[in-house]
Amino acid sequence: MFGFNGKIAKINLTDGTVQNYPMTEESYELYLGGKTLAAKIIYDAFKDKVEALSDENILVITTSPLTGSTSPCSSRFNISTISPLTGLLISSNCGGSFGLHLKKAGYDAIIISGKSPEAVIIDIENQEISVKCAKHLWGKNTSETQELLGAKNRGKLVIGIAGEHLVRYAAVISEERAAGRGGVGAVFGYKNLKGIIASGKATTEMFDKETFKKHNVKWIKQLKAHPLTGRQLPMYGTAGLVSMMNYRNLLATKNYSSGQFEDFEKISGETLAEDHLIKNKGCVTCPIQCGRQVEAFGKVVKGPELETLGLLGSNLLNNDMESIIRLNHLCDEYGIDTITFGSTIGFAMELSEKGMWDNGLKFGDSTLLEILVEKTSKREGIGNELAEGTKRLSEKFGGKDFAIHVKGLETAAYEPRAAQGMGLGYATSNRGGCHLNGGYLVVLEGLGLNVSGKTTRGKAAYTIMFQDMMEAVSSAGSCLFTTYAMLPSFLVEKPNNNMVRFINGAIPLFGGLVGFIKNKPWLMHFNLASVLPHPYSVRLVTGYKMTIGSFLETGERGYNLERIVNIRQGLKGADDTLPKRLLKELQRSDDPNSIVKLDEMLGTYYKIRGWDKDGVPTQKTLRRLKLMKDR
Amino acid sequence: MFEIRFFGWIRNEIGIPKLLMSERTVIEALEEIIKSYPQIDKSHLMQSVLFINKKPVVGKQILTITLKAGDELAILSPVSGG
Ligand code: SF4
Repeated sequence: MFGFNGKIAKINLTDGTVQNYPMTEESYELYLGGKTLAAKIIYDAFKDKVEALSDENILVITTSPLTGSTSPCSSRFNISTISPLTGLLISSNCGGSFGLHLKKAGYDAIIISGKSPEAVIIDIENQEISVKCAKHLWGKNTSETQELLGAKNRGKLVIGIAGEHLVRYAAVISEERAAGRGGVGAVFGYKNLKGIIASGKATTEMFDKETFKKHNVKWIKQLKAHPLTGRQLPMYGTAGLVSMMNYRNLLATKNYSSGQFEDFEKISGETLAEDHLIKNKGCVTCPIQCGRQVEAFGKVVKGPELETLGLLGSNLLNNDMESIIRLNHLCDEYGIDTITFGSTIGFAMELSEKGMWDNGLKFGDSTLLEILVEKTSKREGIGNELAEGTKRLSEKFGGKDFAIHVKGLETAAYEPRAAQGMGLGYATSNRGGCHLNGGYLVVLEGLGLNVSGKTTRGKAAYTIMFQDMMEAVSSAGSCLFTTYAMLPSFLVEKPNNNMVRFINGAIPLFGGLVGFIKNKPWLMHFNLASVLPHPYSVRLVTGYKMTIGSFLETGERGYNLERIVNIRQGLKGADDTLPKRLLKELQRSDDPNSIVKLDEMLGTYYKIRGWDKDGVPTQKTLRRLKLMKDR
Repeated sequence: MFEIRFFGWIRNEIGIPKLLMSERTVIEALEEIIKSYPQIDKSHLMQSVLFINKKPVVGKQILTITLKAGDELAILSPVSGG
């Protein structure tokens, strides 16, 4: 077997036993790895709905065929489980080096079931797995826990105090990176699992090592030459988007009541670079290095990403960069997701402003925020309410119309009323309000290319294509940011060129063609590594006959499988929606089109996906995707 | 006087966040920047994304719109990835 260890472990924390989990080579080929392989394991694990915080729920940590292969940006790994925030399948992707170490430990994935009677860590070394007491680590924050674990040159994965207190959006932290979304840390906490360490010397066989090496050299060159992955992301990191998002009305501001923040420059990537940047710091095997190391409050710490700047900055009318850096640091220390925390605080501020919840919070006042990270993590005082997230707060205090979440997961910092495709992506994403799982169509709608964000035309087809592609890239084990290099440089660099303006105008018109091609992967039975290098990489590593068509089909298979798991968890078509604020309230009073026109896109989306009117994949779709026999 | 603000790699090239200019068209303002800041890559500047008073400016508008006292011209380089 090429590209994989061919070994998956199932660790039962209730009794400390370890078993091999059988996975056929056919399944590896169909699902590859990452979130898609995890969805397959979770689908097979249960017959009915499972509660997130229960002994039954499992954690699935997966690597991918490209993990450890020296492919660019391939050190990421995935954690999937049933989310305590949404009750649906969540997959949380994380950088750092843990994935690399897990694969070197001899496993493609680990499945963690049951619940330990006491605090433990899992130690994996060269296929040897042991469950060890971690009572001395309980109650410690994430950096101290990692320090106490020692384990130099080993992969580490830990929760903080928030995970121990079952905060519904508790994160898992690895080095300085977070698997933040959907509360995977709370599932660790429920299982009394403080962390995992892994290392080993296993190597996987490669199908065509020499060609793979040459392909990587070309790919790295391409990433370095591209204006987005070679210039913008290394120069400003994801924080570099703040300014453009503001001008494009895309920056979530004051609990999503606006897309522009007067003080945006104070929280921008430019300010971060000019006033705080020490150096770039990214994942291993990455030529982009989008991460930041910054200096603030007398310390050198991880710099905030775009999402954190948006949700803890503009969304709270907080213009204090130092405060955002500190909050970001505290959230990582306690182990909570900055996106959901910021969004929940924004909602609580609006409840307070409207007199619906007397909580002392006020837009533009950041004085209470630091103490709230601790109170939320420990579920003390109003922190106990905030620990439940936006959806549950709205059920208790009201304000559902301006509770900004989709299916229970708070949306990212992109305000979708200026980007219809992003709105559709949020509404249909399997994770809930996730920009990446939603397809990140904003990359066409003003952040990358300049296709009009106002039109709904063609957006359903492009959203599906991008959702499937992101799913496949993630399953292969690449960072999603590598996909930006797919956009032809001249289209990105020359927005004022007449030909480029013509192409931007024409892209929505080709939606029909994109939708047509989607169901005929044999039309893309080829590889074009200069456009999409990932399928060719997978082919060279695994030997599978991977083409652009079959690669996108793998993504589509994963997307549909996740949908089926979600339907089993109780998801309905009616859940594919957005909060009323985004559907009915104009973002700008002078623009009657500044709402998300979801009803103009959703029906077409279902149709192209091959789902019925209730959003359920049809038998024909499941058969085409080879998911039928699994049902 | 109107204000010009720079964002993205164009700001890195020019080395300043903003400058003031007297009334003129957008294209005249861009030409003046190229003259005064020779370190800037001309094609980068001409292909920047432009906004006047937070509204996008495209195509022929660059030649025709005159910037007046109190206006803001924002010049941004393309970005993505979050
Ligand atoms: S682009 Fe950023 S997130 Fe992606 S692999 Fe590189 S450093 Fe990690």
